[in-house]
Amino acid sequence: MIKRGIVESRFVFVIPGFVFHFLFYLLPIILMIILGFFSWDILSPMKFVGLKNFSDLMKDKWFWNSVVVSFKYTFLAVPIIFVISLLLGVLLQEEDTFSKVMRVFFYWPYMIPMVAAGTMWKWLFSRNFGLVNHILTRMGFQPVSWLDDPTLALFTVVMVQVWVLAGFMMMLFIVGLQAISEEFYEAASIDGATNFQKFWYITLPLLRNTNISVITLSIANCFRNFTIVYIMTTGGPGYATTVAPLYVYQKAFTDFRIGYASAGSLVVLLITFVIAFAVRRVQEGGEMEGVV
Amino acid sequence: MKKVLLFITIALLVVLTFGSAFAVELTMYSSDESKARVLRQVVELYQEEHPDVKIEVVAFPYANYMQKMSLVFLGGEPPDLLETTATYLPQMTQFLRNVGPDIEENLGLSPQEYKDSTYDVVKVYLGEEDIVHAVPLHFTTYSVWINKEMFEKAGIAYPPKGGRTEPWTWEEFKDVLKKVKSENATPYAMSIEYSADKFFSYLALWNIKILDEEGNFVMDQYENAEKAINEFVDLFKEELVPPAEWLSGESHTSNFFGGITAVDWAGSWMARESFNAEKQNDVAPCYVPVIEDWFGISGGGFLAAPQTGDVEKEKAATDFVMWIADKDKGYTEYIKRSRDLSAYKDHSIDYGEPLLDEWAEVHQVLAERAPAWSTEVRATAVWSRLTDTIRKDLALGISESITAQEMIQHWKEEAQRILSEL
Amino acid sequence: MKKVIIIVLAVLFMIPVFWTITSSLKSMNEIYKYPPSIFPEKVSLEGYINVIEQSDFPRYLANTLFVAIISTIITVFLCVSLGYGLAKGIFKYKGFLTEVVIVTLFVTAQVIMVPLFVIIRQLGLMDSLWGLIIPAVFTPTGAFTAIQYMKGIPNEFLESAKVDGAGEWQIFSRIVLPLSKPLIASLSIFSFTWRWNDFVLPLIVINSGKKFTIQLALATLQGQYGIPWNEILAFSVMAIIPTLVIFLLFQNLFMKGISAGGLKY
Repeated sequence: MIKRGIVESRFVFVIPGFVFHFLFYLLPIILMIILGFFSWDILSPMKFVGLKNFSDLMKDKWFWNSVVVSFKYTFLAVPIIFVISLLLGVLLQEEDTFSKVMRVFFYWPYMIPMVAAGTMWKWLFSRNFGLVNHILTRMGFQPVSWLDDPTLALFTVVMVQVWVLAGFMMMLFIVGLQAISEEFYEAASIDGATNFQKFWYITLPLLRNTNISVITLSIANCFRNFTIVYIMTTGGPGYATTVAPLYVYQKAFTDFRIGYASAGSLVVLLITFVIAFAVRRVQEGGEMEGVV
Repeated sequence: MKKVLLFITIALLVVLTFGSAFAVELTMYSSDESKARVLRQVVELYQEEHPDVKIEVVAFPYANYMQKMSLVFLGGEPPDLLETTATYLPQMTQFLRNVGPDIEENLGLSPQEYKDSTYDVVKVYLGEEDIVHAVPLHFTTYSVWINKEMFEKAGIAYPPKGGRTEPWTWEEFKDVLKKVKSENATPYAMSIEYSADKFFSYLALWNIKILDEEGNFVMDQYENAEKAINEFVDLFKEELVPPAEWLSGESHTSNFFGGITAVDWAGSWMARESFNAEKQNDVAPCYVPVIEDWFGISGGGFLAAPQTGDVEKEKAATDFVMWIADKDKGYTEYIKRSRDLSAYKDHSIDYGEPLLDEWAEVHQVLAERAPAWSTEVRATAVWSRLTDTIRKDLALGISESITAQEMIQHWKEEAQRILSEL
Repeated sequence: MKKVIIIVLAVLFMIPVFWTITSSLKSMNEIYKYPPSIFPEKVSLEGYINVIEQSDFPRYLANTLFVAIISTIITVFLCVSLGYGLAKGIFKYKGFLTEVVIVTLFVTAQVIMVPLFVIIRQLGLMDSLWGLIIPAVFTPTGAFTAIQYMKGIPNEFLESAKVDGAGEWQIFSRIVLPLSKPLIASLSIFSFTWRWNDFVLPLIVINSGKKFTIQLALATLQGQYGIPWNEILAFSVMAIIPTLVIFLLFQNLFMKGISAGGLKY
């Protein structure tokens, strides 16, 4: 390879970003890893405990349960988010007033403070005073335990997750769709392709980079955020909706076991990264650069 | 022209420098906005009396308060004053200043005399021996709130203001719940918030301690410990208490005020809530049922002054703490506005609201009966770290995932681990 | 047909938002009522009045706007630049550096809170609005979005510009940036939303009431015992209006260019 300067190699473009990335993401993660080897409650002095946190973690059945719940949660939510946001993206990709205005309604859930949105959902689906069950009983149905039945609770929470993220992912699809040149479609029209064929053979393959973004970001979001779950079920019934980040968070700031929580976060981080890496590899199927 | 400008500038500078030099500016942290609003009102009164002091009250979210305070202490930048609740106070004491000597100087009471003037259950939090590292703000105690209309409809008398003087026995209480539920055709009878303290307030009636005063696990030494847990869990299984409250954190206030339940196992703070919700004429506090004993475990708020290293500000902060510690000065003003109970024995407050006076009487009885251990156990560091495990396990018990025996075993292991890590 | 589907979906999506707005107009008594009412029986502005009287809403609004706008400008610059460098750069460890960015996508902010606090304190950013901006300007989600977008720009565009004698800076400013208008538009909207709804950073950084942001002030309403729902709902409604304006504004500012200018590839 020819030696290039930092400008010629375009390395210069990544420097500013990485300075901030290092200071506020990498460095805290490194510190977090170090904390994983200590027992600490913030207020008393740290105690070095070696691998104890990790070995305790291996035996902690609720921790592993939370990892499993996270997986279920993510793999339920991601396909639904993908389909709905793609549908919305396709339907709203035009730059006319109707589309522009309607986009607001779908992006709105992503903007509204989760405290308010989560609470509204909780009230809608509450077993005893929720509007949904009230309407169901009025219509002669039995009230449904939307949030108190271990299986159903996960579905309910996933639904809210979809509601929050679909608009965000829709925006990514719109950006991707708008970058596709009309020429592709025109050529296909001449060949007599139907709308569905155009979508399947032109749009989807050309959206490959966007698809990877949407899938990776959905996985990351579902694996990272716990606010929705926390507000709607506080992780219950039992541990049925306690996702891994919520479990770790409660260990850190309810039980004040910072070291243990750090060790747990590291494990979760590694697992999720491996999954996301695999997903991207399958999607990319080799080098993607400059391919449109 | 230039000279005039120069003069004005200098004059302004002088005013600004001296203006701020005269006023000591203090910061007070508060554990939520509703408490901060009451504190701001009394701070205003204080500032009228002491124009040389300015106190800014900053509220933080209650759920994140300990998190925030831990970081503030870690960073070495504590506020001059802080309000905290009984739940969080024991974890902070090492950073708080001892105002015992100031109490002696300002109130003319020895630290011990001062602490003895409060309820036994409050005293535990204030500091050991001659140390006073916090003074009480509001005081709360547990009671049982009932929906008056529903009880009238079911024809049930309630103690002490509803045609009955003695508390119900546990068996009577369960019958009351069943009756009020069936007579009013409500889906459930009683609300209990998803919290370990609520369970503790119930377990205390059995005279069962989960931990002793040093934080050692002792629950397994009680013969009827499993029975007590099972009775609690059965309340949910028999649909007397909405399982949703413990399974998905459904709001007990909404259920109670919305008429889904007729009873709320809560506490004296419901007085303020009922006024906020304009429900004050529909509800009333009652005695808790008697099992082995009957009393209300306590909680509440405290005011403390952390070590900041700034002598002048520490002095001004202490002065404010003394003003609040004095029943004849700031304290009464505070309690009137917060609509809570006084933490001092034989201190009656004229709330200017007959209902509040009546309710305070009920709560005072419950508070006076409470033994000191009911507070001492919860003031241990072990308890504060065990609470989440306890409530989660009970939720698992309600959904029949674990037995009472397994719970006790699990709590024992956790308590021992916490103790070994401390 | 298409419009019908969209409108039906929009109505479904809007149910909780709609209910948030109507409930914010109820009194506390009515909020606790069962069965719940959809429209307030009696419109009560109590929640709004309390928010305006008891809290310094204009100040929180100004602080949050300041933080969100400044961060958004820097975020867009950092992410577009980094995305371009990692997608189109020619240097060793490019793949590795990309993975390093991606791994941070999975980090829960609350979990690295304590180390982050220590770093922010060391940098002297405590209790300042800059302490909410500087640690947040780089966002892994934004960077990843930019990398993926930049990968889609054909290399031939860059090569032909090079052949025409353009330097690296010119390629970036004259070819890449105009092609990135939709990316910039969406990143601006995203970044603004993120900073607007940020809770963890304000919680650990801000110590004085004058520097509170909307989200932090909103969270303080969640008390130990009672929760003033009408106030929380009113506060939330007041908090989303500015983001709506920003959304429509950015949409028009940047996205218009693409459909009209024909800058597609």
